[in-house]
Amino acid sequence: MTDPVLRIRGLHVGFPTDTGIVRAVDGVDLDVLAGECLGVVGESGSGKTVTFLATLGLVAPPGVVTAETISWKGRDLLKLRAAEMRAVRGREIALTMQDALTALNPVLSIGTQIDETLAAHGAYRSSTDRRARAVELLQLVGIPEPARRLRAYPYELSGGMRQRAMIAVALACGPDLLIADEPTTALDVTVQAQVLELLGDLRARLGMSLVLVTHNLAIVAEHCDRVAVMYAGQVVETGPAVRVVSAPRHPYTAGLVASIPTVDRLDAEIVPIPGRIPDPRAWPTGCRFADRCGYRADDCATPQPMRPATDGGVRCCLADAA
Amino acid sequence: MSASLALSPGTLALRRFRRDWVSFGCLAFLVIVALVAIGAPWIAPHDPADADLLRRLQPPVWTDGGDWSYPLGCDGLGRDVLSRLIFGARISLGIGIFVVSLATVIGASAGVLAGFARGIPDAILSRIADVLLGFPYLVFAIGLMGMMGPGLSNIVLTLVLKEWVVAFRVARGETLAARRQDYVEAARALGCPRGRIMRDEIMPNILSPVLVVATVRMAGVIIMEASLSFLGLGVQPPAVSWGGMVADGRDVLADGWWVATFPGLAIMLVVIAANLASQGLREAFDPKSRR
Repeated sequence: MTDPVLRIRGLHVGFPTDTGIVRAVDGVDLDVLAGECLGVVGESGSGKTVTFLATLGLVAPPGVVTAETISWKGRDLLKLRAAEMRAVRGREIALTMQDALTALNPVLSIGTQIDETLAAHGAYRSSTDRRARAVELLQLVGIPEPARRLRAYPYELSGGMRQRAMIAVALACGPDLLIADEPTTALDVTVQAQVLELLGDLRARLGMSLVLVTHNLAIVAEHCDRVAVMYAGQVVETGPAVRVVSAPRHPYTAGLVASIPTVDRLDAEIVPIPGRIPDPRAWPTGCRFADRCGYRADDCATPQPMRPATDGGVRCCLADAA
Repeated sequence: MSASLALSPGTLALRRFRRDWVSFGCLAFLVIVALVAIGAPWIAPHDPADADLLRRLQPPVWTDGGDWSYPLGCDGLGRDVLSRLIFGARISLGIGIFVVSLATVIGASAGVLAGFARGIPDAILSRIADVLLGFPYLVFAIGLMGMMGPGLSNIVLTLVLKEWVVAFRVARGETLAARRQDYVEAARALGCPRGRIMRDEIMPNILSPVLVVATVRMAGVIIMEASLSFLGLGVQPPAVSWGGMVADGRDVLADGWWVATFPGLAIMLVVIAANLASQGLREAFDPKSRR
């Protein structure tokens, strides 16, 4: 196995509130390998987005981030000074936000926003070079008539085009890792497929790593090499995407798989997972999924460590056999 | 792709503004007054300081005793009211535009800084602003002008010192809302430095309310300057200001109504125009605010 480019160990993120500390991320271990596509799956509130905001040092006070290590290509991101961290953001690790409409500045043209990112990193001296790069980027993400679209404003673009424009902005400085946070949430299904295909294509062409943060396991099965399933601020299962989707070991993953509608099982019932994610101010000491789990046993009341397996790991006391 | 590609939200707002003929007309009126002020030496028929007691209180042309060489009559010292009105526009409009521009640049920059950085800079700037807001405007201006003495630069200084607070409060409030937007987070996620985020991401987004308030405040500043000049604390002769003209006219109100009336009308028209233009601007920037 190649060394991971990004290695997160024991990441905790807490937000103090009047009614207690919300432990949004509670001991996450995660690896991203060079050139791979990692899917991070979980329902709203499972801590996927916060994990990566914390990685980039973007958790604003009063949020508190602690971790054993967040190592990026051998450097500990936690120990970087603000200016060094800023140089990593965008140039080495780029992040696209969930909603392209709000993540693009409404009063700046697409070209200006690309120019902005390039200028912020001092990537090109002359504005002519930056413009040429911007045209190149729009071409790269498949926006037709790139020279003309540079002057377009976000409201003038369709949802899919906006997503592409946002990806272009993120790719401006040629990052080695792109974190795409729910890149398809606001898009209709055909456009979703196009954007995901584009992301996979870009990953291969630019030789970068890609993290797809999503709540859609079907997307992961189709586009990712590996997957990390998050639940209640923890990673509950990791493994090769195809294996995890076809033979999930954690009951929560199994529940997610069962709730994917598929064409070849049209008559099969879509089974929702009963109950809700527990209160993040007071996680249960035992298995955090126990209350919603159909296989609940006595052992579930004890803390569940990650049980390593040959191709990943699972945080469930019933999965030992696998 | 439609022909309307690449229109910035600002351009769209200006298009809406141009269709609103009342506000657009008001802005056009202000521009004409400004042009007249700039061209005063060429446009004015007489030297505004040219006194001749033989023409003392000569009435306007349409009343008995008036003649075309002094269309709006003469004041108590026989100076041409029209020429003084034209030269007075330089001071009134000039101070209005200059003070508001300077105060807006200072106030908006400080407001964005305070709203974005929060913490200590915000606390300091906001307390200063609160203290300044606590003074009644005229009392503040009279007190300061009284201490520093009258004169053009002092009046500008006094008004800016009080006026920046308005832009500061607006810019700070808008920045507090803007800094939570996704695009600011996205810029941070791509390694934009804070200064650049404030200048390039937030500033353009909060510009429209700041501009709207600036136009309203221009009307306020013109009135303040007129009030100070009326009280004799403003610009000093031979410089002409509308407020000073009203003061001159007060002494001769019984014998020559026109001396105070025309500068008073001028102040009123310019202030109304500025207010209507700003309302139109607000509606153009934010069509939902249209009643």
